Amino acid sequence: MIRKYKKDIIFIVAILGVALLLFIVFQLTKKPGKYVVITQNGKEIAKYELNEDRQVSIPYQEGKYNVLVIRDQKAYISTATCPDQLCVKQRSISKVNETLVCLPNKMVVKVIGDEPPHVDIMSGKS
Amino acid sequence: MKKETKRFAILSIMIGLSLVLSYVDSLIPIVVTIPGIKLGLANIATIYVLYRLGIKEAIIVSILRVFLSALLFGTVVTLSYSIVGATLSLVIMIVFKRISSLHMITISILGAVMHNMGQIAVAMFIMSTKEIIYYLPILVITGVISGIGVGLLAILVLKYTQNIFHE
Repeated sequence: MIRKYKKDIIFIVAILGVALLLFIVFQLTKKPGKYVVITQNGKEIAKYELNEDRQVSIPYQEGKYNVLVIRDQKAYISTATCPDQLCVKQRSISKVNETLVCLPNKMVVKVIGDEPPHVDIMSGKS
Repeated sequence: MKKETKRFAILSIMIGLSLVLSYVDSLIPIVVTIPGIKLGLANIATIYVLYRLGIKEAIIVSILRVFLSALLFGTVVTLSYSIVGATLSLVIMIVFKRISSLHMITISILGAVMHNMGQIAVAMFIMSTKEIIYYLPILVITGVISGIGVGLLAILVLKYTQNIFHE
């Protein structure tokens, strides 16, 4: 039985192994963040400091919005109008490059680190 | 009944079934809260057709399912997700079914994992946020789990419909 499906087992273990490796790499490269950046439809619309507690509503279309809460250096979505509520159920974020994603409202909240986000490559100024 | 008529009937039933399954799929809440995670129940029908009728028929079922379910239950955005997901998933299943002797469950796993990878790729593109790639490991793992489930179900369906659809 096992011999017959040896190839299959190797295959599945390899897929899981790669996933696990990626997961470990992603976890190890995380740093605590300074700001959260909110993008909607691919465009940056707002930026907030993580060490300032606040609550903001992010409007999308008529009657559609997400409420972002920043508390104790962590950000999470407390309320959303989307039907799946996935963003509300996601864990709070605080490390660089962690994201909260709301697919229906095309919104991404991303944690960024110390560096100024918009440095002009030519002049070096932000 | 003529053989061609029978194949045509099976094909039609499977298209209908895959539509219902993808609707059911969207109704089932999933505990892990990550965008793009779905059980992929509609893949039961696709795999069934791939093994029972053939490659051409599996492509037909996939294409019709994607467009009809977008028309009935989805939006343009969900359509782009499902086109990429379904195409990648079907291509890898067809290729590995042809070139390897891998078990049906493994083929199903490959399909599910590729589907999830496609979803991530589209999400990265649509939201122009490359950090969505951080969801990849968990989506691969859930793909393996749901792929096993879907593969087992497809085997059961093949087994129990042998007599009904006997050619």
